[in-house]
Parts: sequence; C-alpha cells; structure tokens
Amino acid sequence: MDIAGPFAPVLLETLSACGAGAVLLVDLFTPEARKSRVGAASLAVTAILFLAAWFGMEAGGETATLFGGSLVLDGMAVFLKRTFATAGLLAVLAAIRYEDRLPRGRGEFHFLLLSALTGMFLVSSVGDLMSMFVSLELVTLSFFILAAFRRERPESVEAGLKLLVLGSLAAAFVLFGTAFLYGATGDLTFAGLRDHLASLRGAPPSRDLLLGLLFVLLGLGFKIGMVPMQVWVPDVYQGAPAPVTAFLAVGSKAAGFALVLRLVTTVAGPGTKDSLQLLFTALAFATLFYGNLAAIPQTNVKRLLGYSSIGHCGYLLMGLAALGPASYYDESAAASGAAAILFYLLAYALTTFGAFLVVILFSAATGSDEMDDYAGLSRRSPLLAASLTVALLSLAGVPPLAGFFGKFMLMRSVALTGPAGFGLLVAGAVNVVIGLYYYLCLVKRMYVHPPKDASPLPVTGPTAALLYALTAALLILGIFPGAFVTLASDAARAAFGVGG
Amino acid sequence: MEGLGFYGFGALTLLGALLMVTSRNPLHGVLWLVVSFLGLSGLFGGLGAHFLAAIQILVYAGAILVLFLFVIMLLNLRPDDVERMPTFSLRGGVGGFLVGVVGFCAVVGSVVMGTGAFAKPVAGLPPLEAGAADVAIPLFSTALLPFEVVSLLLLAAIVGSVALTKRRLP
Repeated sequence: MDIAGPFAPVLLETLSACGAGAVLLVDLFTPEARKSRVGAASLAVTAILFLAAWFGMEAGGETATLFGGSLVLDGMAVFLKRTFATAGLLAVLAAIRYEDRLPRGRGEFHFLLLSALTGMFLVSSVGDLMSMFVSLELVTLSFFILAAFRRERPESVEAGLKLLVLGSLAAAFVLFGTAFLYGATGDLTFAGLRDHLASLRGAPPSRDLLLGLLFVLLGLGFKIGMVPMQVWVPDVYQGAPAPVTAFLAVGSKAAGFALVLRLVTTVAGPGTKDSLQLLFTALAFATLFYGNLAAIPQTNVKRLLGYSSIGHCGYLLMGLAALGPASYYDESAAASGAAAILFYLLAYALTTFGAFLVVILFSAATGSDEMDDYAGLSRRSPLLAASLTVALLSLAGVPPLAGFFGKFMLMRSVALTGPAGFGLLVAGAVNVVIGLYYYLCLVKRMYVHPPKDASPLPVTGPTAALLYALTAALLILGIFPGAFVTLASDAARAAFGVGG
Repeated sequence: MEGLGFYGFGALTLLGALLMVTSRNPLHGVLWLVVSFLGLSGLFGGLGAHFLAAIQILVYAGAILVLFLFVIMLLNLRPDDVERMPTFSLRGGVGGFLVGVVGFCAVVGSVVMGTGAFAKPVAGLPPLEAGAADVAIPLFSTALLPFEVVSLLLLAAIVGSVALTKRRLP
C-alpha cells in the first residue's frame, strides 16, 4: 500500500523529523517526575515509522524522485528504509531500558536518536553527492553527541571525541573525493556520474575520477568500520552508552553500505569493474582477518562486539567483491552480491540488537561489561543467557539463524564470480571458524563456568517479551527467508538494471 | 600573474595552518588560523568566487574565530598550563608525516599523470562567477534538499551542545 503518493520519497524523513521535534516538546512540558512519557512519545514515533516503512510503502513500485533528483525512492531505498525503521524502533526500546542511567537530558537523548534516524532515511535515498554529504553528517553528528552523552564517564567522552575527530577526517575524505568527481565529470548527481561513464563507452575513466571515487569510498569506509578506517570502532563501541553502541553498529554500517552500494551500482560498468573488484576483494580480506583475529583476546563484551562488527564489515564487503572480473562478469553475480548485502544488513540489525539488549540488561543489573562476569549467567538468568547465545550464534553464522542465511547468500554471490572468488571464499570460511571460536568462548563462560555471584537476575514481563520476539525474528529470518530474499533481490536487480 | 596569486595565497594558507598546529599558545594558534583563512579567501577570490571570499572573511575570520578567542580567554589558561601542553610527539609526528606524504603523492600524481582536472577544466563546467546570486539561486532550486537537511543538522547540533553542557538538575 502506498500511503504518501508522490511524496513517498520524503514520507519517513518528514515523519521522523517532526517526531523528533514532538519528542523535544513533550520533554519541555513534562514535569520531572513523569519523564518516562518522553520515552513513550519517542517509542510511539518509531512505532509509526516502523509501520509506515513496512506497510505504507510500495517496494516494487516505479522509481520516484523528488527535489529534482536529490531524493530517489527505488526498491533498494525502500528495503534500506525498512531496515533503518526496524533498527530505530529497537534502539528506542533499548534506550528506554537504559535511560534511568542517564543523568540528564532524556528528551535530548531521544531527539538525537530520531535525528540520526532521519539522517539514515535520507542517506538511503539520496541522489546527489551534496545531499549525501549533508545527510551523512547528520547521522555522524547525532552519533558523536550520543556517544559522549554520559559526560561523567571519561570513556564516554573519549568515545565522543574520537568519533568527532576521526569522523571529521572521514568527512574531509568524502568532500575531497567529491571535489575530484565534480572536476572530472562536471556534475554532482549520481545520474550525471552514470551518464559520464556511459559516454566513455567502456574506456577506462580518468585518474581524477578514480581518485575521487577512492577518496569517497575511504570516507564511507569510516562509517562501516572498514580496514584501514576502522581504528575508532573498538574504543567508541566500548565507551558509548550501550543503546547508542547498538544503534551505531547497525545504523552507521547500514548507512555507509547504503551509500557504497548506491555509488557502486552507479559506477560499475565495463571500464571500472576490474579495479573495483580487485579493490573490494583486497579490502574484504584485510577487514575480515583484522576484525576476527583482533576479537580473540578481548575481555570486554562491548569491545568484543566492536571487533566482531569489523569482521562483519569484511563479510559485507565480500558482496561487493562479487562484481567479478571481466571474463566472468555476470550481472546476476553483482546483483546477488547487492541482494546479499541488503539481507545481511537486516539480519545484522536484529542480531546486534538481540546481543546488545542482553548487554544493557546485564550491565544495568551488575554494572559490568566484562566477559568474566558473564560466568554462570545461565544459572542466574536462563532467558538472558539463551537470548545472548542465540544472538551470538546468529552472528557466527550457525544455521538455522538469520546470520547463517546472510553469510550463505554472500558466499554464494562470491562463488558465482568463478575461480577469481575462490581465495575470498576460503578466507570467508576460515573467518567463520575464527568467529565461532570467540563467540563460543563467551557462550562457554555463560553455560559452563560457575557464577561468581549466584544471585538471580530478574527480567520483567515486557523486556522478556522483547527478548522472545527478537529471538523469534532471528529464527524466522533464518528458516523462512524467502519473502525477504525476494524483496532484496528485486531491489538489487533493479539497481543494477538487470531484468527480473 | 594569476599563478603568482595562486601560489602566494596557497603558501599563506598552508603556512598559517602549519603555524596554527605548532604554536604552543592557543591564542597564537587562533590568530594563525585567521591568517590561514585570509589566504583561503584570497584563493576563492582568485577563482572568481568573490561572494565566498567575502563570506570566508566575514563569517569565519570575523565571527567564528572571535568566538574561539572568547572561549579560550574564558578558559583562563595560566602560563604553566600552556607550558605543560604537548606540542610534538614522535608517534603523532611520524603518523601525520606519512598521511601527508600519501595525500601529497595522490594529488601530485593525479595532476601530473592524469588528465589533470586542475590544468584543464572539463568542458561543460559552468563558468566560475560565483556572486551572491549564483550561490542564492541553487540554494532554493537544485540544492534545496541539502539546504533543508543542513537546518536539521544545525538543530541537532544546538540540541546536542545544550545536552552536553547541561548541569544535573537539583
């Protein structure tokens, strides 16, 4: 059902920007004793966004544009917006369970969550480089304030500062690349870039254009935690408040990949695909091994999830490496890589929130994020231990969970490219084993080691329902992925211009 | 003559930026930043973007850096605080140097080896006559969406700075 008509490309953006303002107003007119209303208002906004994204937008409709092509709503944008709306709802649900620990500014906290969400919605459908930069900065700015929100904790301030300084460096990379792209093509829109490359008729593009592309990709690599732009990830993940970390892990990664996908689908063609494939294969190798190997010695759960998120960026990059070398170039491999990325991002969002919800509840009860304190969790709270185990197994890629099917799709797309993808396939498989090792180390602590403190950790009714729902979602997405895979592949095929 | 202006202002910009990051006293740093911004404004002027050149001086060199000066003065740094500030660390220096070398090689390499976007503008680029009207008209037509998003960005920045500086309520 299409509820917004010609305004569909700005439906979610407008709703979430207005909702953010409304939350701020509710905060202003609510007495201190009833501040939980602010969280309720924010939850209502994200629930409306969730419903509007999943049930109020046509997924397979015609591509709609607004603002002279600055906003484009195609199948890929709709899929990404649904992922973001889901992540936003889960982030607010997690934040409500955290906000008692915020010393001040609940209204501002929820406002910034919603403004980051607005930026993500915009990012998923931008049509030119200028809008891209501004929307991306909206996301980054909201996140660095959120990361530093618990000002009284030095780690939180450090996280915010690192995100600010390194984020500015990444923004400079994007701007620098944009300037080169403009110099090479004389146009700032993605459509103009595509026309310019089409006018070359298969000849390799100028070095200025490639340099500009490389700089923009490196700047976006910061958002997704790609080696060599990953240095900020562990410290920020560890220092930021846990709901922010979860939203950052999902939102920043998905926003970055939304733009990388948009850029790659624009520039992928006979003249560029060899260099792009080589580039993404090398980046996927480096990112996979860095993230997964560095995760092994970690002792802090948030830091472990930080390194593992770098590893997951590596898996996602495999989908881009499926562009294939010239002789094996097969449009369907490229499209299946993009479809796999879209599906993986949705699965990753649900899985990450499943894991972080337990981390939030555990640290609210015990004040600790250390892995050793998770010892014997299965005896203290079977529900928490089971939810975290399911989420970790999904991250590791164990069937029949959502993460398994995402990894399967990514590997399949690499396999479709022929012998050139063989090395990457082996690397992916080796990394699944490494990942399984460090996730299972945490599972072992929870189920085998004796607890230091045997007091039970109670879980209230609504929270338990949320944990059950997330676990069920991981199972459903893993066992019955059909509907979502169809949506993702249709979107990816349309983006690459391949007939259904 | 044009080349002289470009290299002159370019050198001024770089020199100002270099002295900004190396000066021990934060007040001196801000003043060197003014010098760097003046050079940048000269570069904009040389490109024909006179409006941007004026804005650069009015907004950045004028308003924003005065704000910086106020903040630094309000911090009320004592001379021995300034003395204790680190100016140079070997690790940071080497890292920065490497980044600088890579960036420099990338730019020079592209200009020397490539078709050279700097040397020869692409046909079809609009002529650089960026007066106030040339900035204002796109702001309400082709660049309308980024313009609106920037207003949202500024709102988020305001809310964020209030939230980060707010004291705990009694």
